[in-house]
Amino acid sequence: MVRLISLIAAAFFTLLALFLPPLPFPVKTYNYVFMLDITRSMNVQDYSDADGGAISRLERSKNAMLAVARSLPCGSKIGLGVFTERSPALLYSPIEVCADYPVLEASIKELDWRMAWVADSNINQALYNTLELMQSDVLVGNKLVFFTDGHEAPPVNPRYAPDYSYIEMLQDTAEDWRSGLIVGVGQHQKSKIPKFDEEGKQIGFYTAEDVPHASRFGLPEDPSRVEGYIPRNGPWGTAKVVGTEHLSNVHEDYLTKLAKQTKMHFHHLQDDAGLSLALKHEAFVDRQVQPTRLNAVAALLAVLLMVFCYHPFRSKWPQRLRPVR
Amino acid sequence: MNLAFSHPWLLLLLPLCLLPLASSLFERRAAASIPLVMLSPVTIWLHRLILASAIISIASLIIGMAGLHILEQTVSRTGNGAHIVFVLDRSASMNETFGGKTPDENEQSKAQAARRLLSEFVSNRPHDLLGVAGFSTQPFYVSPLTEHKSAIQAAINSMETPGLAFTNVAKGLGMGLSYFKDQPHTGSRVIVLVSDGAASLDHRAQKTLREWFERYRVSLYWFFLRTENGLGIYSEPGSPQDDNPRVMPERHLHKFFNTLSVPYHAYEVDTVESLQDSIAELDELESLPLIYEEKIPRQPLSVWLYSIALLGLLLLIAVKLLEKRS
Repeated sequence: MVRLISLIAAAFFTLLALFLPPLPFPVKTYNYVFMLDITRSMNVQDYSDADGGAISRLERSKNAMLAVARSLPCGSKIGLGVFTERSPALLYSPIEVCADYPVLEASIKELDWRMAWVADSNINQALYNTLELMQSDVLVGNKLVFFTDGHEAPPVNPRYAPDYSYIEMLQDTAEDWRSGLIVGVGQHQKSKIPKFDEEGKQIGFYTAEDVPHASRFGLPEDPSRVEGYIPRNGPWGTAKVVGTEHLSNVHEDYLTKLAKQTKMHFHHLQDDAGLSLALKHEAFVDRQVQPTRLNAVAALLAVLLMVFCYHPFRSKWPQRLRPVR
Repeated sequence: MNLAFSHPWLLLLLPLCLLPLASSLFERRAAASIPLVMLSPVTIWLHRLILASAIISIASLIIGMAGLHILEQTVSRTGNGAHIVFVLDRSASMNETFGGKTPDENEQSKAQAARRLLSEFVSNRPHDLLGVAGFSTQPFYVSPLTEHKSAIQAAINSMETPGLAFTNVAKGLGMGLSYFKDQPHTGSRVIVLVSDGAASLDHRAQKTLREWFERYRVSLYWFFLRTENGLGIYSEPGSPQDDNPRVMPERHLHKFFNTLSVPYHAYEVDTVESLQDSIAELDELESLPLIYEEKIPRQPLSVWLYSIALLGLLLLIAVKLLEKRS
């Protein structure tokens, strides 16, 4: 009798497997805009690839972007942009990571420092402008992933740092505003920055004479601390400043500070798995209802019932002996 | 026909379908004497039928769960369409209106108007292969020639974001032309240059562009979004001294495009309506027969498998109902 019922139940579940419509189920998806620093310091080769060869920060970031795109669940979206100096350029608004992966792959592979339309690098301003860009109609609701090494050239005057309170004001819910992730690219040790000629051939590295080592823009914050301060002719002093601005490392402290100001998270890029974990943080989840087909589950129940009907550990003879009439 | 499984590991359950060989669906009964139960060919075949339907039911349920399907296939078809690369100007002036002002609530900027109309164009052309390149001072590789319309729409969306620096037409066109490098030549090939300015091309750039247009046989459409009272493609120089590429880059770029050996159409657009008309003309002109690949999505076979399982189960239920109950 039990087996008859389980057979009928199995048939019922098979019917379900045949005709069950897709059911709405909540899934976790992520919507990101990847914004990549394409200034010169990103050419520093301080990462190594799988074979131990040196690869640049730019190449490393591109590989990480693709690895992350593959690791995000289908239905997630990624947009792409690059920035140099103070302004970001959006290449496309977010596209789906599974269906449009070929396009993502082709365009990420083509990202290049030669796309840069100007050569300076002002990370703080660029971050501000990117966050402002994120408020535009085609991007609103997406989280920013900002790939940079934090190296600014020429060094900036902190006095003219942007004020993020305007962007914070634009948020609907300012208190749980989580704008995204800053990814620090590069190692902590300083490395030489490659120098290229007009044809794109490397012609050595930047030397200490090639770059300014301190900010000369605008007015100093506290003139009394500038050595040799002359109000008109030498607002930044008259001494020659020589530093290590021709070498580059990841400015982690600076980026952490920026992340704090903009309520973003910070992650230092080391391996793809780490980045993908940082991006799957609970704060970035976009919960969506996606129709999910559960037909296979019904089929599985039917199989289990069949297995019960036919399981071989049944006693050979009926257990209960009936009285003989 | 190419078959594949979406969850092949579920096939590990397949040995379960041999269970009916080891056990029976029915209660074992003692009979007083063997000759009472006649073994006839009919009963033997009935027994085999019941066994087979049990085995087949379990097996087809498991194979159905594993997601047996016919792989996605591509079929070459002929339709009307083109391979189109949009070369989009991302310079800062694109964010102004045709009147040269910052747009207010009721007006559209040039970039917004172009974005809306191009995006309509893209969704009306099902068979086209589309690509997008952008440029300001430097060219950007945005999206390769692809059939992914959603990605192209996303790339066109980027026109709405703030523009960058200057207009370097030559590099943008070079980037656009490079997309055709490894493409099979079928249907028409088109570059649609959308810009609101021009720049003088040096001799080197002119030579390269001329060569590439010839090599890849790409026809050129130039949608010149002219600002009111600004210089246009057809502006006449006031004096002979002014007739040089520095003063009138648009006129001279147009002259250069006219010397190309490929079909060239210029549209000077100074209102949203005229932009719409010129896009409609592009739609009409570039509809040559084209061989395109149509994707037939994968077809799941689980419906058939579950149906077989259901049939087998119904038979087993019928037999089980007939079993003598004591």
